[in-house]
Amino acid sequence: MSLADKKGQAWMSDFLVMVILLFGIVFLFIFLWGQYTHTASIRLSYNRMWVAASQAGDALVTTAGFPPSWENLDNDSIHSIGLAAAPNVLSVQKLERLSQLNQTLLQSRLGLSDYTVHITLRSVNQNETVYELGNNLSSTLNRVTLTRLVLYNQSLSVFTLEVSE
Amino acid sequence: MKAFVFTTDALLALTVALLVAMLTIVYVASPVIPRSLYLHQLSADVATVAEAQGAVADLIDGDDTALRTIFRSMPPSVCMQARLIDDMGNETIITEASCTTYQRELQSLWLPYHHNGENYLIRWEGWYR
Repeated sequence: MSLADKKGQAWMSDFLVMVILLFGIVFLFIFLWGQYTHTASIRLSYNRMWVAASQAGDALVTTAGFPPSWENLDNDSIHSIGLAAAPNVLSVQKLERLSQLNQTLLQSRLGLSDYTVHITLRSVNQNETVYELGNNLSSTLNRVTLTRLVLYNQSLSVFTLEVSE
Repeated sequence: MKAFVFTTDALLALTVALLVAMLTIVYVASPVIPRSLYLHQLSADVATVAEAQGAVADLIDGDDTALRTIFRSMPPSVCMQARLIDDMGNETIITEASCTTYQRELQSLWLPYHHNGENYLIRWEGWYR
């Protein structure tokens, strides 16, 4: 075998090895990228739910809603829901009216149309749930649970908003 | 052999470059839950509820029971601290019993308070365990 042939063979082996490795690397990269975008998509979806729940929870405990006296109006006149008579002081009348709303309207007016909502209010002194609305979501893995401190009937209470897809 | 070394070298460089690029994107672009917003909301809750319930007035008068009850009602993952400063600069610090040092994502809220003709500042601090 001449020297020129040996050089050619070395180049071809090198080329083949390189092509195989290159394909392997490209496929590995595509696989890892797919894994990353899938995970990121799940996390983004959870983050969107978290932010929506956070904003809805804040609106519920710190605002009166719009119109502010929505508890005295028919369903079609309600634009947004808030439960506060004053910031962090919940109104009994608004909570009672909230119970009369159907889930679709409630979720829509809270900006949570894509999610299921569960609301509870627990009295700290009595250590018991004094208000509950919606289906319990404790068995749902992908859910956001946010608790806020409020006063209800002049008593320290914990308001919990659970949101699930 | 020179050619073989050259292309393998280039391939290794490509692999490293791709991995670095991917790790950079994963690190920089990973979505992070904006939990500081919630921490800020909780700190504001404590400040509002404590003032409405008279827990701040009690604290100034030397009774921290009501404030500690409010702190205990917080979610388990959150720590709260109240730092009361009078106009002489004296500090009274009340921290939730099971919380010692700052861990992550500190949020603080300074509020003025007037009680029995005296001016106070209260710094509410919340952080995740």
